[in-house]
Amino acid sequence: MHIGHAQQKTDTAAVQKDTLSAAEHPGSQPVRHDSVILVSHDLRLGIDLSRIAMPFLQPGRRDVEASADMQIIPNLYGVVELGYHQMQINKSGLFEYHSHGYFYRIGMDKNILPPDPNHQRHDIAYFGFRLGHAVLQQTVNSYHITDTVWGNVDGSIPQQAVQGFWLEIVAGLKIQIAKYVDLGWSVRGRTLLNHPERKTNVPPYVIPGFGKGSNRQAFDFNYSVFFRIPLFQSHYTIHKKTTSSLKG
Amino acid sequence: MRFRLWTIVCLLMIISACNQDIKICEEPTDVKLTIGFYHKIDSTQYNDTSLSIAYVQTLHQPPVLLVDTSTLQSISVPLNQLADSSGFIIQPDSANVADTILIYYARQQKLLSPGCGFVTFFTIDTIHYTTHHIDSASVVNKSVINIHEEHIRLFY
Repeated sequence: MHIGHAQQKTDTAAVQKDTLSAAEHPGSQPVRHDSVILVSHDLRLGIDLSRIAMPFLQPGRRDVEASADMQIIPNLYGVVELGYHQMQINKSGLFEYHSHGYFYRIGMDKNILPPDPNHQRHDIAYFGFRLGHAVLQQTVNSYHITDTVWGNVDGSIPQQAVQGFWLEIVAGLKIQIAKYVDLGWSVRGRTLLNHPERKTNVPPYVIPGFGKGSNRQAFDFNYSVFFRIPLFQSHYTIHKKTTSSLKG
Repeated sequence: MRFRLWTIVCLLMIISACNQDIKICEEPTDVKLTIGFYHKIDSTQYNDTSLSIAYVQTLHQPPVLLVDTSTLQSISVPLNQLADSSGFIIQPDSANVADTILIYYARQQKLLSPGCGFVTFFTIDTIHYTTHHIDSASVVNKSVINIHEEHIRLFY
């Protein structure tokens, strides 16, 4: 009987058994080892704590962001992020601007940390990508243009909808701090795929989930707390070919 | 202690930097029609020239004096943001009768930036003019979004 000792890099992986498909042919090359590992499909729900500071950094701005991720196959996580944004700018004597909107991002994360052999910790270090979409409703309640020759201009612009699409890359950490609680941070680089400013005479000040509407690229930082909800586990078979057989 | 001080200083700098684009206007906000003066040699040749101007004023009542006794190669005048046309009276020194130029356009108010507020951009449609002293005129740039580009050429 031949036993393979293939080690899988997954945070929830536990090698149950390895089989040798070519056991009946000890002299043949190559030999295939099938490793069956246990994968935990925990639903990890997160709240971005860094958004709490936003009203202090930019008065009039409110942001809320939440996320959900789950391991699909070993070390590969599907991620959905949702959020809401609100902005109020009162520029005395010039204009009053109000916007609100929501966004979502979908993508994948690849874990690069080796698994905890005791199946106790759920730490991951990851990199991944997101596709983002935002819808923003913006209104200019009033604006004023001073003109000493022909006369001053006063007006308003009714509510208009603006959309943004972007691609982003992300890297970060999620570290377990309690049995079902993780803390994590991520850094992100984004690039806008469309031109929302071309379809309106009021370029959006902030595109929800992306950043400043005047920029084509944006960088961001998230600091989140996560709550893990164990849902189910599955067995995942890893097919691995080796060039020589192992003898027990 | 020094580390804490630097941390506080850095945080204050980040906080203040976040609102700079709302507080400060860093872009030019002047949007004016620039008219260049040219001397026509024949139907195909011309060169830019300086025009001795007695005055340039708006056509509407009461008139507003825009240029007074100058010799200029070009003038920049504001277009009316409340109407789809503007008229100007150009009185050269060398002529007894002034010329009138009427510019018809479409206009759009646009948020230039949060720090600067709104400006009006114009797209020139047609121009009409008298020919007491002006030989001809042409629109070389229909889009009036700043003060730096020449929009209309007047040939004398």
